[in-house]
Amino acid sequence: MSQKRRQSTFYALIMLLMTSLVSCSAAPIEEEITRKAMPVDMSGHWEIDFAKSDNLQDQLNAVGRQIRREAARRERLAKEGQGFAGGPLPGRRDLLTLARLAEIITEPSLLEIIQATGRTRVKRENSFALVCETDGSAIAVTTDLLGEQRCGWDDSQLFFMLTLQEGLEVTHRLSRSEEGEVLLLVTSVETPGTRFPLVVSQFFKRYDPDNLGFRCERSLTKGKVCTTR
Amino acid sequence: MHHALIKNRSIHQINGQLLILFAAFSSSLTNAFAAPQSPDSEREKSAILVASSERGVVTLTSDLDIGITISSDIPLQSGTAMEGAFRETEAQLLGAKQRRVFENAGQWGVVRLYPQPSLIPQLMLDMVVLQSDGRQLRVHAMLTGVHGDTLLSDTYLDYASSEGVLTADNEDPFTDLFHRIHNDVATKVSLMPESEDYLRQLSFLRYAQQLAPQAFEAYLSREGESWHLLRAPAEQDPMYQRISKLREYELLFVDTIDEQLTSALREIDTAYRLWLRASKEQLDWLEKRRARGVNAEGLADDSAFARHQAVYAAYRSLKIHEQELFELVLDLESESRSTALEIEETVVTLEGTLEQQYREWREALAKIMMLENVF
Repeated sequence: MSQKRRQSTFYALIMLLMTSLVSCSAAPIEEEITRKAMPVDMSGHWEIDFAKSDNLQDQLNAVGRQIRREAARRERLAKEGQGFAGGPLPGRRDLLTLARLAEIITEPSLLEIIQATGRTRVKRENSFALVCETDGSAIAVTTDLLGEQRCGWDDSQLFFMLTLQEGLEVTHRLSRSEEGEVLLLVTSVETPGTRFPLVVSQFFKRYDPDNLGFRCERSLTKGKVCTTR
Repeated sequence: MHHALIKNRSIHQINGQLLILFAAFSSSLTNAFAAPQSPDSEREKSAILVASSERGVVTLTSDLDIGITISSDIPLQSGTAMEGAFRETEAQLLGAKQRRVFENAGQWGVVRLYPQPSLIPQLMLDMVVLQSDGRQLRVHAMLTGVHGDTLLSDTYLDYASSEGVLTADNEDPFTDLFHRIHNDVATKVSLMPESEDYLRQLSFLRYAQQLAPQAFEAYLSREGESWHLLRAPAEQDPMYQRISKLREYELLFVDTIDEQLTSALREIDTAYRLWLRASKEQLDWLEKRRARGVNAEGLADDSAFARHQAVYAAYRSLKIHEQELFELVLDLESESRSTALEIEETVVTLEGTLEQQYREWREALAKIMMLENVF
């Protein structure tokens, strides 16, 4: 080993030692949940692009593979006589529950986003709107009869975290492409039975409802009302 | 008629959570009408549980005018501005329902909804909505005479009588509460010793004294919160005529706002009833689940999917109803932000909330009064 190489190895060891000393003495670094809010304009009408969006079956298979890997890891650890932390792995029935819930939650294929000062509404066809009242400075927490919603801007992404009774957790994260023509909605569904979230990515593209020649609006009081353009 | 009394507590169990009821009273009662304000403890006393049939009309023939003000003191659940706007509109809607009961009774003078307490009507009914969730409606009502006496101060509690009532299109689930308040007001008024003429004069002079204190102080005397009429001015008195004109202007404002609100509230009423029904259904469902939760075997019968799906479906349903209602409220809010009125060939445009517009209007009237006094 040349002197130069020995020297560099020495410095590397010193650096490693210093780094470990610093990390031992420093206070625990608080993980930042969100980044600085950088709201972007997502307003408009959006329709799902099925070709680009995730297939639920594929996502479920991915979770299945994740669980199998975890099962294999635990088996290996058990054989080596080492213990492992963690509850029981989800079974087939739990996965089916997760898939069926995700199917319901990700059903809307049309979105209308309305952004005003301090309030963003993501209206979803045949479902409830995701509403966030925030100026971007903090996470908005709203508590309802059946659960809690946290929402806000994480950099340029708008997120909604729903924690409902029975431990059902649903997270929606919306982001818009640079050119503003594509919207990505990532939905994560998790139940206490699975602990492995099922994540579904859906791509949406802009559409002009007026180009259809008619527009339909559904309301509870008036039902579905369609008007020609 | 069955009147059961139940204990009203400082802490009420609402929607499974303990919520402290903020009983701070509206601070808007700042004008001269203000009777001794209802302290927190006033609403904490026993609530009158409204029976299912309160339609019996108390026999009373009175031409006294009644003014109704209403506000909401319901703690916001979600804490959003949308919910806040909804609760304000809900209070207006309930006030309009109360007014209809007075009008339909056909035994009163003019019944108006006022943005703030006024000295124009001889009786002022100040209502505060304390709870409204589709299952229960709790309202505090305080009736004050223009002489300054508090004639009634009670909290009323009504339960939606049955699921059937909530599904009927023409029936309001809490109409009994409004009838009960009406009947209690009628009973109290029938016991008043003052004549209608006396109260009308007093009302006019207290209004006049508010606008021109020095000109009218000799007509009134005050003992504590009670006002007495010493003598009446001549109707030919130019000052009397000016005050009459200003009073008409104020009523013009109140009636213009009233017309705007009435048509808007009619539109909201259907969505409001659907929301009441949805809210009641969710509360009933939650209660059943809590009751079943005690019995672990009962819960085990449900599959995990069924339980999660039920929770999500319930949340979805409640949100859909709530959002439709909130959107209507937001539309209403944006529509009723400005009012144009014509007085003496001049159009006055008022902006802001009803309370702001009313304040602005009163200030404009006071200015007119001052100018007329100068010349």
